[in-house]
Amino acid sequence: MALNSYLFLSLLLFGIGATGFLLRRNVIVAFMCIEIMLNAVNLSFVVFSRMHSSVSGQIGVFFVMVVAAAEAVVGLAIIIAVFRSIVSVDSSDASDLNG
Amino acid sequence: MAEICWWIVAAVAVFSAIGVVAITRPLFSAFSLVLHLIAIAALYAMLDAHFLAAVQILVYAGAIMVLVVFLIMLLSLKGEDRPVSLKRAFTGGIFLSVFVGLIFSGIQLSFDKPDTGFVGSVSSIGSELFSRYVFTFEIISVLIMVGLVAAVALAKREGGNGAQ
Repeated sequence: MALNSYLFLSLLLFGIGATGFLLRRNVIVAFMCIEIMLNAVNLSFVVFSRMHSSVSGQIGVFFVMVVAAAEAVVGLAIIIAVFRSIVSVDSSDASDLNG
Repeated sequence: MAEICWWIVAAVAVFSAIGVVAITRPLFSAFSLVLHLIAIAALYAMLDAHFLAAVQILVYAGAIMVLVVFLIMLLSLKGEDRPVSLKRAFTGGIFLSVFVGLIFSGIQLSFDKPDTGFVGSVSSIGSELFSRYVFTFEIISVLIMVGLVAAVALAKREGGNGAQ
């Protein structure tokens, strides 16, 4: 397959993730949409690594995965802490700051 | 043959991503995400990034998704009671079409490069990681450590046993 088609696929997946993040109110689903976006960008990193015959893009993907793991741990702990105080994972229920 | 495989894997990736967004029960959403991550790992394998394909399945589809599914079951979530409002969907649609249109034209204009057939072997990734990127590697391990401590501090029940 041409490398361009991987980039278009990556764009499409990022778009789906971004739409889901904007539309869904459940914070866990919003979190999963962030994972979709991260993976779309990772895919384009691998394609760029292949375009330029350099391994740096793949190392970038490795670092993004580590950051995503750290983000997952902290994010899920925050969701548990919020759930304890408002007994909901709906982002529009967490409106104490009138946002 | 390889083209047919690519289209099948791409379709699985796209439809499972749509599934994550569209399914209202969070648990099935999470299962759809697992499928999506495996499809992405297959795409990495097709790009000869074998190390990343293995790490994707181990770290993402394994470790992170177990955490997410565990959380969904811990909170025993059923589904959303309020549907998505039309205004919200409309705003999302406009934002998305502008964004996708801009990047689509950008890709078509500037990224038309031939396939080099480059293979990112595990040994080349390892030697680069521990020579040129060794400082970043150390920083990232500190970040993981901070995440671990932060998760314990956040999830600890205040005023319970052992908490101050």
